[in-house]
Amino acid sequence: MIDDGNGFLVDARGLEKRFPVKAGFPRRTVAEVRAVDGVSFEVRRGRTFGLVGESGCGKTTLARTMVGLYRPTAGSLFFDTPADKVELVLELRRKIAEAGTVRGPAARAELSGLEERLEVLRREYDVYSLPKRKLAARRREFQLVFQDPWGSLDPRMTVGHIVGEGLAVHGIGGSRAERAALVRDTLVSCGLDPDAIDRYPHEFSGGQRQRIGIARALALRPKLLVLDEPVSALDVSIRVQILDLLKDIKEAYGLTYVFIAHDLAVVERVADEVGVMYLGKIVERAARADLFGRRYHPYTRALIDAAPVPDPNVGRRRAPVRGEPPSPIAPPPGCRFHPRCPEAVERCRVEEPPLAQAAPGHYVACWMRPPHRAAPGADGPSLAAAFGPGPAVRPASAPGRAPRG
Amino acid sequence: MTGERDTASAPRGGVPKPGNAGPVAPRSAAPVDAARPLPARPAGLAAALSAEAPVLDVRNLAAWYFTDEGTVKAVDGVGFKLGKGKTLGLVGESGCGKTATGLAVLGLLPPPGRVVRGEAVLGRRDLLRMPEADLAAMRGRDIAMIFQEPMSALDPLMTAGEQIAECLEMHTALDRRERAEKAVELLASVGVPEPALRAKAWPHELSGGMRQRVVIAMALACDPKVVIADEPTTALDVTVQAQILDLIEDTQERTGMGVILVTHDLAAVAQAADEVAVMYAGVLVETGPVKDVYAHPAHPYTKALLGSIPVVGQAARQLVTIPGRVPNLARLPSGCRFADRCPLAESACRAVEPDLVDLGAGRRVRCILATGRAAR
Repeated sequence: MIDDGNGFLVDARGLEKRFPVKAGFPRRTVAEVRAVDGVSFEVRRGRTFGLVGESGCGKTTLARTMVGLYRPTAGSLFFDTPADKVELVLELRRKIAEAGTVRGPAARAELSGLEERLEVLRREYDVYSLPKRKLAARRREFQLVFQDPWGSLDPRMTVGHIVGEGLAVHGIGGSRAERAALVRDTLVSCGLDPDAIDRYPHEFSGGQRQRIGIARALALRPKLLVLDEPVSALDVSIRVQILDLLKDIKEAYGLTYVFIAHDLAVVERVADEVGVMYLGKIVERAARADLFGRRYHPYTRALIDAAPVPDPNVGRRRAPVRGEPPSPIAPPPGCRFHPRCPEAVERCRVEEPPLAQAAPGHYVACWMRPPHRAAPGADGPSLAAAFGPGPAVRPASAPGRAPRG
Repeated sequence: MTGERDTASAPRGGVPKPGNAGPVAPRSAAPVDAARPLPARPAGLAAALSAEAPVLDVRNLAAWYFTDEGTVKAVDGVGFKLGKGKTLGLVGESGCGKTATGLAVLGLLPPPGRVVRGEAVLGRRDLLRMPEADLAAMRGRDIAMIFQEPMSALDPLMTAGEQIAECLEMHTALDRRERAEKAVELLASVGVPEPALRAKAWPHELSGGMRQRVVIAMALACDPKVVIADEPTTALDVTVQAQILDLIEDTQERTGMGVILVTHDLAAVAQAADEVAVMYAGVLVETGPVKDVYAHPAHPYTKALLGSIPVVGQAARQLVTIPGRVPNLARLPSGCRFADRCPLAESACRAVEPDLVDLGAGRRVRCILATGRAAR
């Protein structure tokens, strides 16, 4: 990814989160759910990173891990780190990788020296390596907005209490009155009546509750908002209102977003950069226009093709992929998408493809795509046969379902 | 990890399952084998036929909830005809009364809800004026429901096969072994891989898509004339949604059942329905053939709804914002129910509630501005 001068606010490296599956008596761990399985990405300051995928792909776990609600099994997250320090970390990592290939005592000494320097930097800047007190203080800088506006607000707390709780925890605003003023300000910024402060969540509609959830996150004046399906539980007429609000406060408060959704059409509207997740891994990552334009990964293509279009003149194609995502407890060997992929070859079944650069700034994990193979055209022969033409060139006579009526 | 479940419109409280309440009503013919061949129908003729002999005719249906806070008029005078082999998309946002309409037709409206007027005629009999025993015999056999949340629609203590067999026990003369065989056959027909194995699986062992297929197999078990599908794809991932819509459509082509697709998803309606009925605050505001309504929406609400949906590949198009929110159904405004959110509303809109006016070509609209334009 090319730095545009603003630098990265988030630099996530090799994030992993596994959950033990317990069974039997006495309870013991019989398996592991690899919810997030080695995910790396960067988010530039002031930009929106969109993360799409189906249920169970690990996107919510990733969101919770990012804001520190889960402790990752492995990985590091550099948050708001000076550019020169990030560069130093990257350089150290490269040197460590190089030193690892050389044998001999001198190389070993060099390696341990490098690792020590990296560890010092991690304890200073890696969110997951920070000492507890430092982490607690930094938490206000990254906040999570939850998916479900019904389940995420405590029904026994007033709106003022909900939105102001974080301020009290972090000791922001000297007095109770000052905090109340801050809460009122935030409510107004989120399109709510300042008098809402004394009311309870049940008095509000779904759209207003989601505004309260956003206000709660915004009250701490964070640098990053992680938005986990912020509009998917809302009615269509309310979704646009909330998307508008998110756009407004992003500008007003200079926020950076990680926007998680299963709806590609929404992500295409809000994101500058998009990552597609499948079974705990990012399978494709690129600038928005590149990702939607090239749609390199067969899964990305399937998701875009399955995205419903509210136009009766567009014939519905037959379901573009078979079956459903397999269990993250026992992911298939090789490429995780191969059992559902129309293009899978023998190599896909045995060897897992790495996330490799297919074009400048465009990363894909697929053996059938660059840099391993030549890029197929937008509707190249193999894909056209497998899926039919993509939506950009989708005529009413596309193969599959004829329009009704 | 939570999936993206539409908890907003999930039915609250216990909703009974279709087809397993009431006494046994034996039926001699093995239902699924009796596939009725459909004659080829030119569009015009089909419209004429369905207008003459709808398989389900709902007239002036009103279903209200009598709560402590007042009477919530969830359904307040809804009428539509469903042609044989046709799909009607009943769309609207949460709280508009679309689910209550489906439940009322089936006599499954939970208290304090009650049908206060109207008819729902299925095969010359009014479902709303039928003794409960007769209605119970018809539920599952003649008219069935596919529920939104497949996990709560299935009994966690019965295997998939047992639940389907239960429907068959209720409505057919098949013996136990035949029912078990039929259940496996039905699972195969709804695209469940390894149906004999899955028939023995418990609901929690099945994925969301598989559960929804089991629920559909239950609804289709007795080859009903009408199926009311309440948000059948909402809880599912997009790649699975397309599979379920395909399945419903294939079954329909095979058996000629009429389908009421109750949903908030205008894209699903575009893809799967012939006719659309748009509900707002308990009433229909616009009905007509899907293609015509989507191409030229007459009601400002329909127009705004269609404009508010983001579509992949059209990120540059400005989305329509509908300000405000749906009115409280216990304290409805006078005049048009949408007037407070309507960008075109005039003073006349707030004076009298407009009627659902016939615009010709099978279209009706409840808006004085739209009908005024048509008259001019």
